[in-house]
Amino acid sequence: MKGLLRKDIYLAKDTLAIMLLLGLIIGVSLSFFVPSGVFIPLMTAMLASLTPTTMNLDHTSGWNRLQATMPLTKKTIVMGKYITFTAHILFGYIIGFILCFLMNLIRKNMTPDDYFTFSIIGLSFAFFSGCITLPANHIVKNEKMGIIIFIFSYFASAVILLGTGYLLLKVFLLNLQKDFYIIGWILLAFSLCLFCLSIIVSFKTYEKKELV
Amino acid sequence: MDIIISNNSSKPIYEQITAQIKAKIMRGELKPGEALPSMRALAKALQISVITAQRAYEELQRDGFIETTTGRGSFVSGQSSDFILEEQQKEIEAHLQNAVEIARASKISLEQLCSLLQLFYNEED
Amino acid sequence: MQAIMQIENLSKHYDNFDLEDVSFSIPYGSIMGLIGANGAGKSTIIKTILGIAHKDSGYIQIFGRDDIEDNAIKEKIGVVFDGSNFHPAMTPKQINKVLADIYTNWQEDVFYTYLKKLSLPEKKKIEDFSRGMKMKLAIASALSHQPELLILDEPTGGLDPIVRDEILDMFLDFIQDERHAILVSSHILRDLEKVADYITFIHNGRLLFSKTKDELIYDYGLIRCTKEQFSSIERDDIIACRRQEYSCDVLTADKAAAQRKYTDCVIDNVTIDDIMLMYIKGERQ
Repeated sequence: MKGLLRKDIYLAKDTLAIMLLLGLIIGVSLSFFVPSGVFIPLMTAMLASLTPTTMNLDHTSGWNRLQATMPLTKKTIVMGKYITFTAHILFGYIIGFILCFLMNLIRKNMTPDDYFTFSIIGLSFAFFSGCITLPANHIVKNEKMGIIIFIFSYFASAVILLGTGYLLLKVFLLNLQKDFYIIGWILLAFSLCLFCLSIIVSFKTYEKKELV
Repeated sequence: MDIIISNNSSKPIYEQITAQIKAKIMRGELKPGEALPSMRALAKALQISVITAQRAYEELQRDGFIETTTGRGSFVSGQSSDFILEEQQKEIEAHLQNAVEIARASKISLEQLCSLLQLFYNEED
Repeated sequence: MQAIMQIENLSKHYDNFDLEDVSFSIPYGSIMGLIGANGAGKSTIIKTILGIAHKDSGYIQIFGRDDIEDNAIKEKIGVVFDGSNFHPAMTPKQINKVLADIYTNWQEDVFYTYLKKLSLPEKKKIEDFSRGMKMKLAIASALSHQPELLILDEPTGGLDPIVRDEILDMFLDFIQDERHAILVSSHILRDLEKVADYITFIHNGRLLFSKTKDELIYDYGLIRCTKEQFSSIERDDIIACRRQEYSCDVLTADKAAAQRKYTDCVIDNVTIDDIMLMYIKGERQ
């Protein structure tokens, strides 16, 4: 496991600088129009894309079939990616939070509730997308398919996020003002539950997988 | 120890090896009791397969030129002089047989052949 | 001799390709060459042995056990695949760190000795390596965790003679320990002809033979004859024949017997190439 995580860190190191720079530029330019809080979901989502990228590299570089011959259990290989993914988004979240905080020192347009909202949106969005990309990457056969699944995952997680919010408000009749924190925690908990459930799916898809 | 392998020779590689090691023993370049390289080391040095080297050693052992003890390796056999003599006699026989066949085919008499042999044998002195 | 690997009746079915009933075994201390044309099924065999592809039926025993999923077995196997094996953005130095975390018996000093011996730079990214350097790195990595069995899929394809020679030397070094063995697939037969002890020949997903190399190149022969001479050759002596415009080539399993029987025919020595060609292109009896 340690070796796999180490390998992912080496791989992420290369793209990380570019990603942070890109995030900073987009974040700074956006935050003049909307609250500085956008940094949080933006950086989280950006770092969330690192794992599918490394998985794609694992495939194209031939690493996938080589690691299958190493003394690693299938569980280790699958779980390794989940740990990498979680580490990536937490890292993105912390970076986003710091940037947001610094930006807010100038602009002063964030309330504590705003921090909460953006944190929930950022993290649950990232976890939802992980539910799709992580298992799907074991059935991806080429780079094009990988990119399509990746874009689809972002789109789908936006839909799940809004859908869950809608259900909570309209079906379970929660009140956005009154139950503000409850809604937030439920969203995050739900995304985490789905994320954990997807480990089982990932494991099943990986077990059936034949590497070319 | 030099061993030269030819890929163009009609002789199989293991025969090339046995012939050259036998020749070295006969010429006294390899002395009784002297150690030979291990089969695997020989294979590595000559870039040949282990089985080929193994076959060469097996034949040398069968003909009494070397002795192999597991764990200690292969050594030039102590009483190989008898075998050497026998081997050399065999070689002479083969050459003479050839000469006789050629002589018969071209109707050269036995006397002529013997005098030729005598001539060659005494030439050296 | 006991076998380090034994394969019995291995079958694997794909939509457009079947591997059918393949059996062979690799004795300890030997090099087994797996040969066949491109697409014959060599890679499929290697992938099923390694558990990367799942066999449909059959029995694959390595170190006496049919359980490739066991990490204790995987620790003792070194694997090299055709083409790329590692991430192009990584350096040999990083690979050392990663593999040291994965293999219990990883030997850093052995790995660095190989790098030096094969003149591979430690800190250069693999994407800047030539094909030969990538292959040497892959083999060095596969040899640095004290493996006992080395499995290589087309390691010499597309490499220059100097690199091929270095690789053959590494093989022969590895095999100095008689508890070791190598399974290597290739369609470049000249390489295998030098160092392999056994040859297993796969064609269209089926096993044609698995024999010692010496038996093949010293016992087999090519009878080159006219059409009239061909009709006089006994069917039992023919493995395969190829009718050319002016002559007929016949592959026989007993060169010495053929030389005695068919004194008026030319009887040539064979190379593994010849045998493969005769089997694939010739009419088999």
